[in-house]
Amino acid sequence: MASSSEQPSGWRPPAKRGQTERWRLASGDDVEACLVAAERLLAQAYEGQRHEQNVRIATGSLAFVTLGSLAGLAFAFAQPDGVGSLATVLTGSATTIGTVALFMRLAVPRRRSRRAQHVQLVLAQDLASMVGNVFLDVANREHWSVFRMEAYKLRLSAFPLRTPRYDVSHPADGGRSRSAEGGSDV
Amino acid sequence: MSSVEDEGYLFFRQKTRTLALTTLPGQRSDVRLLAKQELFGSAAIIDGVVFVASFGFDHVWPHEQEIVAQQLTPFSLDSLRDYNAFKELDYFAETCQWIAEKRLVSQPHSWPRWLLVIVNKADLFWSQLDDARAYYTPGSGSAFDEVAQQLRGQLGTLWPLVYEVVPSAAVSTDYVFSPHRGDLRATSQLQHWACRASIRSLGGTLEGLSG
Repeated sequence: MASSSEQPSGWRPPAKRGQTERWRLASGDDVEACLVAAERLLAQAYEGQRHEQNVRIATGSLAFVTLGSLAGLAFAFAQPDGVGSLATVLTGSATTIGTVALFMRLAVPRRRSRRAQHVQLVLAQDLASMVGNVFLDVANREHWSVFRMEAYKLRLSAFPLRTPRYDVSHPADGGRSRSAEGGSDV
Repeated sequence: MSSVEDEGYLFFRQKTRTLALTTLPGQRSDVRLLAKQELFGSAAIIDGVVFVASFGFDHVWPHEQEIVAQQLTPFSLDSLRDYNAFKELDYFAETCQWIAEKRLVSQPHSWPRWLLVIVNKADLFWSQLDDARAYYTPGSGSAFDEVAQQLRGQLGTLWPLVYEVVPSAAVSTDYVFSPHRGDLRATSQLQHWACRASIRSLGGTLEGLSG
């Protein structure tokens, strides 16, 4: 175990703020990096949602086709002349087992991916909210052009509405987001 | 600021008229953008626009407090109020811009006829009411008034927009901003009955404008 004398020379305990370290205000670069990260997370979340929707449609179609196949097999099994009872039962069983396995294969990652999308979306909203709070101040300090400010406003308008943290519940938990703050500007 | 788009109706005491109200979220978001496009687009008919100001006592959501606190130099209530007032001015300029754009994209019968600025949370700055009046009142020459006058200049005399400012206090509550850097507080200076009276007065103003 390394003794205190072996610590790197640059190491020192964190200074108490306000005494030796001044508050560092955000810069235009910080704001830009934050917004780019937020946009990337938002794009990932939307891409995940789109993928999940495709999977949902695919599983729905599969379920429909499977039910149709089973109904056809049941009909064939019930025929007096018989199409081959053993073959029918085997085919029906294989179809059912295969379908259940496929559902399990698709359903389990779906729940995980939904959680990941939710996290991505919340993080994107958090970052956008941070940018929204800071960029006017930074723009004023760094004398941004009106063009740049308007572009930031439009970029922020692409994000979904941020609800207070205590109101956000995970969709997988069956919760719904709801806010209680009143008042408005228009 | 509302965090969702709300719709509701305001019933006046005489019950001869109702006023449909749509509240737009203050946070820049897709909901705000779409609602703005719907209301300030070509189809919707708007009687008037209400802008809610707070003379620097804008509510800061708990999850935003640390970020806002980082921007305050020095860390004081005055800095926070300056910060909020600056944001408020930007939102007001944006609202005025929407009103001016509405004139370009829609027919005259759908243009808003009045703009009402409600200076809310008056219970927190009651002792500074003269300062608030000097900042918000039409013709005062303040930064806020400049934006309003610029809008009226843009609209011209063919479309006289009635512009009014009223103070109000919805509820008597202290203002608290408590990030890790410390607590900033402002005490409510009005009783509940006075707040209720201000809301009644506000209802009368709205009735007069919409009538």
